[in-house]
Amino acid sequence: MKMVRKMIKGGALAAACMLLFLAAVPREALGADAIDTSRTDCRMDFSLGSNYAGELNALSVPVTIYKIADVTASGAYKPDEKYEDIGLQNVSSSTTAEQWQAMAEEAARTALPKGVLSEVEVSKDEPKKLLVGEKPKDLEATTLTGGAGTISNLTTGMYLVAAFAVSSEQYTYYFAPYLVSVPGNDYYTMGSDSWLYDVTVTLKPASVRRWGYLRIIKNLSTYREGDTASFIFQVEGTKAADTVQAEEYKYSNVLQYRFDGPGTQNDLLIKLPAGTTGTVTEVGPGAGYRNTGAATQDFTIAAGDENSAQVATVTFTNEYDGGMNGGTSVVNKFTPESGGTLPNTTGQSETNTVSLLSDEPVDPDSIVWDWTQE
Amino acid sequence: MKKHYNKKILSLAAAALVLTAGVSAGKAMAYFTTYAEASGSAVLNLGTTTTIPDEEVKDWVKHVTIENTGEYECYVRARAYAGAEYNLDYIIGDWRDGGDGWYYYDTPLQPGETTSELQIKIDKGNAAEEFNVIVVQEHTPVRYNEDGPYAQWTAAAGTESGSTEQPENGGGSQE
Repeated sequence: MKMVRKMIKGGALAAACMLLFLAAVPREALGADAIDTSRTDCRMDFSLGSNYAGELNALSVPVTIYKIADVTASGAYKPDEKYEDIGLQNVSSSTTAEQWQAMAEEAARTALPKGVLSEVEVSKDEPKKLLVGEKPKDLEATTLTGGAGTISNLTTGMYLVAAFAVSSEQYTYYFAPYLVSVPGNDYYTMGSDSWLYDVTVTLKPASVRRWGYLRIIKNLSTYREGDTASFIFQVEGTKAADTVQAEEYKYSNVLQYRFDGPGTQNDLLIKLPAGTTGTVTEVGPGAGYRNTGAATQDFTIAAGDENSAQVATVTFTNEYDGGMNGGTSVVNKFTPESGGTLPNTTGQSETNTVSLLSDEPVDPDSIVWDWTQE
Repeated sequence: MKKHYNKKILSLAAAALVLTAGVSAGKAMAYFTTYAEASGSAVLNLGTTTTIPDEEVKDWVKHVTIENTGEYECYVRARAYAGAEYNLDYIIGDWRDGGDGWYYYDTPLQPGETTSELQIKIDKGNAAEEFNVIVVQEHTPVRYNEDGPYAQWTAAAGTESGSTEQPENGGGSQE
């Protein structure tokens, strides 16, 4: 089974820092004219990177900007009092992209309402990124539609750009906070030393899967006393590849309920990517028991937490068949100790509480497996 | 590539079934299997217990044996379940492939006896997530007819011997 998956790399976020290194380029080297700091007609034009056309273009992306510094005619930044500590006045040609990103994050912590920024794990192999979450209801923003939008009538200076997270049915798109200078220039890309007072900003999101849940419910109406009854379910699910996730996702496993009396159990809960479809089949109806309904049931996963109305459920009911057979079962659980992804199933065991964290490809041969039985 | 297993053997639930003293139960079974629908429970006299005493996994091969820990002889069968993305190959030894997914031990298992080993080789493919392989054993009373002992895996309680039901898989020779 090919279990490798990938998602948009966190490297896209580093590239999302559309920084125009005004102060990094000595004015003398540019040979440019002085910045016209009197202009009030500057503009930011937003667009989405071409890799994210399609689903994201169909969503409305709210964007807010905050002016955090003025710029002098010679290109030096004069931060607003609130942003004096982020280090903008000290930037130079040696300021790295990571340092610019750190300044953007610090500015965002100051500018944005509390709770808007989120630590998001984009990649298993990288530290969590500080990304902008969903827009608070009372915060005004410009909306990008069809992936495009414009904010006009700007004065010159350094701006913090905050594009807010948006969700489709299957993915949430996050953007890193970043700094944009007005004016900018194309010195490094085009060799031109002219100031650009209309700046084009290309947003590059990181996509994160949305998750939902499948719950298996088991009813045992009649029970043969003194005999633990085991019921085994085979769950097969597939999430098709798409423009965001290039690899198909598959879930394939067997799970079990044990009964020592009649009743209902419902704590088999499987976390799966939104959009996953599949079947649950009761392959082991228990020695001495029969299924009174459909042995195979379909499911489709919708995004939502485990307590939401979006949880997909399948229900199986069995009764004692009057037979003389008995039986037992042993669940052999194989868990990646390292190098793999983490389990999907919650419920039935105190260790089964973690869900998939990452879609990063893994090398199956590098996985060290732990085996337990119960 | 490094692989190792940390084995934890937890207690296993015991299964029980009804037998009268080693012969076909007939009407006695009917008495013993009366159950109360209202309460949803069944009252049975318990006589035979089998367990899977000590499954091991070595190099992705499950080694399964079944022990009769009860008081009466029985027939046993076993099989394993896994997701469709995993492949299970059986090395049957003294067991028999019933062609129905089950593997049968055709020798009646006396109290205290243990079956020979059934090996299940697990092909995990490119798995990178946690997965289960569930091994199931079932047992059924030993019945007798003029040909000797046999197993009737689909018999319901209250079924008399010599009825129109024919012996199912797991027939054995009369001792």
